[in-house]
Amino acid sequence: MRQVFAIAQVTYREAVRNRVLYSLLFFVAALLIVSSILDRITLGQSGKVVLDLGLAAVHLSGALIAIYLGVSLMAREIADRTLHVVLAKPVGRGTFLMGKYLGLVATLALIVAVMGLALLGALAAFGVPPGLAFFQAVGMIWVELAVLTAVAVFFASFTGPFLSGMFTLGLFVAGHLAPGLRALGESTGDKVLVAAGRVVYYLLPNLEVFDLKVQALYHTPVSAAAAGLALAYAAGYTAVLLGAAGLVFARRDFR
Amino acid sequence: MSAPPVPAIRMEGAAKAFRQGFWLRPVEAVRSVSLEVPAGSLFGYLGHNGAGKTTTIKMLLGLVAPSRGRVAVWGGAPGDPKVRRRVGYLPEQPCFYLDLTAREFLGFHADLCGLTGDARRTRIGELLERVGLAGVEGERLGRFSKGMLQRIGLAQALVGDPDLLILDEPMSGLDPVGRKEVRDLMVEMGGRGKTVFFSTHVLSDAEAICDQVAILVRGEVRSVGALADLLKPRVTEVEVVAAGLPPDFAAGGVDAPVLDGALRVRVPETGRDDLVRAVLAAGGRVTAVTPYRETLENLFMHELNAVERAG
Repeated sequence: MRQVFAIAQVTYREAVRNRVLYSLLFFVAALLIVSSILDRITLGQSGKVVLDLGLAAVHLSGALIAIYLGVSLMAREIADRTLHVVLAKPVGRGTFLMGKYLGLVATLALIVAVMGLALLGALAAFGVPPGLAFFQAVGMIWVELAVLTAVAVFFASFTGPFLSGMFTLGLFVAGHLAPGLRALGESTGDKVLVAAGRVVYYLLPNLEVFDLKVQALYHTPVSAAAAGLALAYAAGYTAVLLGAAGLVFARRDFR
Repeated sequence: MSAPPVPAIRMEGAAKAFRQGFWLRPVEAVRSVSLEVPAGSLFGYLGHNGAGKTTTIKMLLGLVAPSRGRVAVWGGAPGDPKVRRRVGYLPEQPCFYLDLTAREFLGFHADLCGLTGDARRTRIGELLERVGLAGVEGERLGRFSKGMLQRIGLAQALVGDPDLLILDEPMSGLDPVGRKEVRDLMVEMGGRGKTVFFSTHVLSDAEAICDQVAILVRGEVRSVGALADLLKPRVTEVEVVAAGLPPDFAAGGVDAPVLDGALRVRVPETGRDDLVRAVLAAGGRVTAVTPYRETLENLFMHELNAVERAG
């Protein structure tokens, strides 16, 4: 456990010192400014646009950062051979992967917290009370990013940074379309398409379960049971992905 | 009867092929390595650039799995973390987390080796002192020179007090002072009963400190054993220096000019006695007979040429 913590700590330190991170945070700041301008020209919906666009910005920026960090930090470990020195120590490959993942998730917690606080400031400026649903929405964005990071780590465990970045981005988009694809298959009534829709639905990460932006907008927090179910789903999906990544990683040659 | 001591490293016909290109054709980086590194020895793994030294080392660390053959470190599988607890490793071009300070970096590796509390703190302090970085432990590695990175690399390799030190081209790119320091450290480790396995293409480094060597040519170990055994049978030439000879001196097929009655010639050891007798018979006197041992460089070139001739 001490080894996992040591690797997570180094990963966190390395990630928060990454300059690209700051440019993406700048992107969020820009989006918040744009949303506040839009808010001024939207009649009767004061604050709603800031909340809606702000949460979307946190979500999208967070996803891009998660994909970038998940893919690039793993790729750099391999390309720069920093991993060789670590794996030459009495460290199992699964331990390394787990430490790396936890370090990334901790980094994302910091990033989401910073972006959430910025959004909270913007909401306060417009006199919009955030409510419990807002905090649930921000929290679930972080949970979704943790799942997305597991996807990135899984792909990065056996392929290069470009392909793993593309695959993870693809799964991020498809993960939000999963319920729609299932509904589309069922609407046709065709047995094959219904089955295909279900397979896709159960195979892809259903990222829509973490999307609480609408609830935040209408101040309708989800129940503890629903939140718990989403967390359990995230934990299960992440465990499967990291387990698969661990199996691939254990057999991989590091040249 | 006690069991024979477990060698630090044993490789039997180890080979590694990587799949490359669109059709994933196998390309052999290491064709056949068989060697045994006794515990406590200072072992030089010699080979030209691209011979397969680094791939061999990666097999020893469990970073790549051999395609054929067997690799054992302290009698166990290199992939087993328990085996690696007894191993320290310095890569050829140390690439570390450059955002960490020297102390943070050593602390990280101490954590990986399971050191805690006072033992951890003391070990880090000792090593910073030992590699001459005690004054700059708060500096980030990104600001370090190549020599300093090599030193911190050595420190991280030593942090777990390993019984076997595996160093990949440890003197590469260092200035003469740095090279001497690394050589001294390896000798010191040997003196403490540790096993040192290091790769190099600088033969003089190996000749200066090793007691055992293996010569790797194009992925295949061609010679392996104690340096004295490898070079001893190859004392095949002697240099004879004589004076007081007539200008037309010619004996035993000697093809060297006599200048002012002096002769300096290198002949096969088997022709030494005949030449000495001929010098004395011609009224000259022998001033020196120096046996020439084959150098490691000769041996290395001999093996390299043999492989090239074989195609």
